[in-house]
Amino acid sequence: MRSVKVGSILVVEDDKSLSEAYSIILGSAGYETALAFDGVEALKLLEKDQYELILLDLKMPHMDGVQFLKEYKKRYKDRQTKLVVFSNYDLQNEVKQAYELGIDKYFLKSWASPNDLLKIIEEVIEQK
Amino acid sequence: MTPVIFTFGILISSFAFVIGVMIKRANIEKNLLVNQIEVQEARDDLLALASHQLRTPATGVKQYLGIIRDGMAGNISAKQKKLVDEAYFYNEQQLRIINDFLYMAKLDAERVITHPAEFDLIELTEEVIRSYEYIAEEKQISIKLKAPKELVLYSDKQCLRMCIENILSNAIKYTNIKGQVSITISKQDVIAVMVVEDNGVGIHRKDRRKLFKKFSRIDNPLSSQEGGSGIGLYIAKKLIELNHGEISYKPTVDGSKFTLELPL
Repeated sequence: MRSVKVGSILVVEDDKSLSEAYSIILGSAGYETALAFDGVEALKLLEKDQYELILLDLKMPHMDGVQFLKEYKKRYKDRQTKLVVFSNYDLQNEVKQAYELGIDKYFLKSWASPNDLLKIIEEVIEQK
Repeated sequence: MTPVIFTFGILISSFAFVIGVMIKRANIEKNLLVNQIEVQEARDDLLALASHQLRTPATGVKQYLGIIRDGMAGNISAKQKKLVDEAYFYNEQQLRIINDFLYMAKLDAERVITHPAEFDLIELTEEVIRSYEYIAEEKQISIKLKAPKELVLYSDKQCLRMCIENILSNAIKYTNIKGQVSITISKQDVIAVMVVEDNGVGIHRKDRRKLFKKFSRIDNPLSSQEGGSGIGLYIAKKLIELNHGEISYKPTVDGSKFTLELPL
């Protein structure tokens, strides 16, 4: 297992086009991104690498955001990785559950411009 | 059969009848409740699906246009930037209308849950103003903000953003070319007060009562030129109230004045 690489972000998003856009945006600010298209793929990547932040979609096939968070917390409860969740679904119960599972931030995908996204990521990473 | 036994028999059968009716009614009520829950769940699922299907394509457009606009894919000329700004603005308008309708449906179903957190109201207002700069410039309308450096609120930022967007959008829409919109923010004891004033076409006395009502598009010299769903102020009022605040309207000598009051 490698140690956490500063500025590394795991983007877990099932829409490949959006995922690509987030990768370009985060890359433009110097972040290094890895992409997973559902919770199962994300867990596989986490077996090999640690990230400074995980940007997680809530609604995904195979394993959705909340299921992923439950599994992640079970396996890696001591990791300090920041968790940011976003969605375009109005899933109020899931958002509540995600906060209960210890996420650092939730935002509505359609609200955030590229600069808003970078600002959120920066703020969350700077939080102690 | 003695009269006592007869009376007792009638009492027992009456009691059994009443119990039977009560059980039947309880079952009907239980079935009704189950049906109501099922309808509510189906409505929630439909709303969640609709929100995703409507927002996602516009979110993709927003991200890719934003990448070009903000120079994340290399430099662009001033002319290209102006065109991309225009496309970005119209996509934002579309997203705002989608969000307004989704929130209206959720408000009607009493399914809006707020997520209060601390944030700076001034920063949020500046962000909203920036997003309307393009259309204000097109109409040569100046937007002036008078506010302290920082004013921290504990409220739902997304709700507040939608309120401010709706009020500012209306102010710009219903102000003539070369007009002026001013936003003043102040702290009064434990309340944050935001006043949005314009020197636009104003609202006729007869229309003021329906101002915050659903689908209340109001006739004025600019309403036929400007688009709108007629639900913006309805949403703004409902969302402000959900966050324990108030919104009010007063006419001014040469336009309109909307006041938002929010607990800190």
